[in-house]
Amino acid sequence: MPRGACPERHEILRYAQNDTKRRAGNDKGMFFGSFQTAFRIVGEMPGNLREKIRKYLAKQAHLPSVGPVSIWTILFVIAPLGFILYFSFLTAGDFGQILPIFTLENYQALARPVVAEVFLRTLLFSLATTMICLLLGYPLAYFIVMYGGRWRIHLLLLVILPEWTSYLIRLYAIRMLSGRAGLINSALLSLGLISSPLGILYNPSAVVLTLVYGWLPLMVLPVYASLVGLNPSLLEASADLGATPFRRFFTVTLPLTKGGILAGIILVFIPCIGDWLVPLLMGGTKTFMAGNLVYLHFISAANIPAGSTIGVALTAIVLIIMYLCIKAGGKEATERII
Amino acid sequence: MENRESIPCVELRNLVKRFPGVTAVDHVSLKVEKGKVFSLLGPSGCGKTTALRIIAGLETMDEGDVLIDGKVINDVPAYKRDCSIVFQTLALFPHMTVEANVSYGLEQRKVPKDEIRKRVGEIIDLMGLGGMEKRRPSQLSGGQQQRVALARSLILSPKVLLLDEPLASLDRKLRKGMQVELKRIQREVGITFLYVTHDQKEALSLSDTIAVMDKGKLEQVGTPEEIYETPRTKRVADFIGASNIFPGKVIASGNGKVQLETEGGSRVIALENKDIRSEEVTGISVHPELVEVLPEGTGLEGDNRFRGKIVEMIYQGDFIETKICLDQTGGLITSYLNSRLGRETQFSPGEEVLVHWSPESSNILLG
Repeated sequence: MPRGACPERHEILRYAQNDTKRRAGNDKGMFFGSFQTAFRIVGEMPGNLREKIRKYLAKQAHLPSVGPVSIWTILFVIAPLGFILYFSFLTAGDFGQILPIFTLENYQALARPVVAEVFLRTLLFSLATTMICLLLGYPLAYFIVMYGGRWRIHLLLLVILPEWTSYLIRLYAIRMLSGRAGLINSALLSLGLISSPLGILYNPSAVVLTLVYGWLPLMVLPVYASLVGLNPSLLEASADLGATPFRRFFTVTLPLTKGGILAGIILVFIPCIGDWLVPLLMGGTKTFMAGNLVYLHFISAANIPAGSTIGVALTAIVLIIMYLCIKAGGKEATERII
Repeated sequence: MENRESIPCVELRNLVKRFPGVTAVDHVSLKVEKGKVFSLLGPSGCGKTTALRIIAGLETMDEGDVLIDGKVINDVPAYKRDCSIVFQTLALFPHMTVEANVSYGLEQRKVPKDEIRKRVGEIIDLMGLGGMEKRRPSQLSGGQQQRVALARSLILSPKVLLLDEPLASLDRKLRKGMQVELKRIQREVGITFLYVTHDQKEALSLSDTIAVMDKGKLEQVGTPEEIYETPRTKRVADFIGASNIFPGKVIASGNGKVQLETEGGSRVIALENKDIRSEEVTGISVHPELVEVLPEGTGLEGDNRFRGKIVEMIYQGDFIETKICLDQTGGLITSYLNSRLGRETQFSPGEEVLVHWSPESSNILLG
């Protein structure tokens, strides 16, 4: 479309020129003057003109904006994902090399019962972890915000503190605590409460609970933020209008912290679904998760295309969950994640 | 047996609320008559909002009783009290439509759906909110939000509607309009309004009764006329806008008049009031609009006539605020001169003049 073909553009320019002429005499200073003029022009414009500006800008939206953000996104998000997507359609050679032979075999392999079972388990573990994090994290954040008083920040710090230690070290620490010869078992044994060591580790609940331990702060933080942002007079208004504390929570507090909850769900779910360290260290062969399959394909089987395919599938799942959460929570959820 | 009609709608008995370092409400006792507009007026931080929040049950008191309709409700939780508060910040639920905001209270009371719909329709008509039902509070103007907040409380037909500076967030013109609107709504629904404000004009124009509070204490309770024309203490006089206050003592009385000697040594005359004992009098106040300014040549004979010099004239639109320095005491007196009628006798700063007010205009202060 030629530039002159946008009638709105002309009208806006004409308005701005007239306005500048009108104001030319009384602007104070270059810098603030220009700002004031800009605000005034927008503020005093008749409504239909503002509508025209909006339309004009919408017409320009097809122009790609090239800035640091675009470069960053292309370099670190689009490109790696593109490579993985590309690899996932290729064939692995006998010595681990990638052969440029197009195939859908890798995707067909996803439907194999063994692989499908791992995916289902991954989903189940991740959902369970996310739900437990929510059920523990929400009350925790609620308690800190409502009753923490001047200790709020300190209490929140205690929640985040473990995050600053290496994940691997913490996992080994848990193993030392809860292994067959670990601290918990030896204490219970010496107290005579049990006669043989408890099998705490190497089962599904060990994996899920360790994941919960690892990612709980990511649930607490956004929920905390949304609770802090809650206007206390809304709670008072609710009580004043006759809502019992129980009803008040479900009609005011919960809906208004939905953004924080959904953000927490996304933040916990994403690392869970890709985790391979926890099932490796805390689980047995029956707790294999999708991340372990990627690891196997890349490192042990040297089949990069097959591993890439699983990566693509995981990314797809994450995107679907994110889409659902953002759709349910609107802009607030997205803002809370960031 | 007490007559039901004479039971006050809201009664406070010796209410005390202490915050660390300050007594927000200091032994306040008052009665609010049914179906009337009662204002708690005072400067910010005087404890009026705290008192209101105690009545609503949002704040606990340290001593005293709160009664609604003759029943002590000290231990009744907020959600069971038969009163509703309109917050200064309005506190509309941002995640609900206008309709849902308005019906919220009825839903909590488990009123049948059909009746809720009917009553919401009625109140939306009464408040002039037709067509806004499906909007969110953020899509409404300030005045409309105000109406939603009122509707949300009024729909419950509370025994008393508590209003915490509800018009403070509106601009001056809109505030005027909403005052008229509030008066109309109150007349139509007949619900008792307990109105908290720091705006004396708002209180004067809206209320049947005004209680002036200062530093947690109740200073004076009366009709708007009483509060404005005969403020009983210096603080009330000062707050209500009678800026000419002369502390002094009664030195003589007779012929229906009393003579006071002010701290500066002037003699001022006021009318005698049989209900007031002379020992209690602590001074007088005069409203600026009752102080006359006369040309210098006028005689000094008669009551309350003093020489002075105009030191300042501030144009206020409908009047000229004129400050005059009295020769005898060096004190300042303020007079509001009608800016249009006074054209022919124009005064100017620095001019020697005579100030005068009639004995009826002297208001006797007791504290």
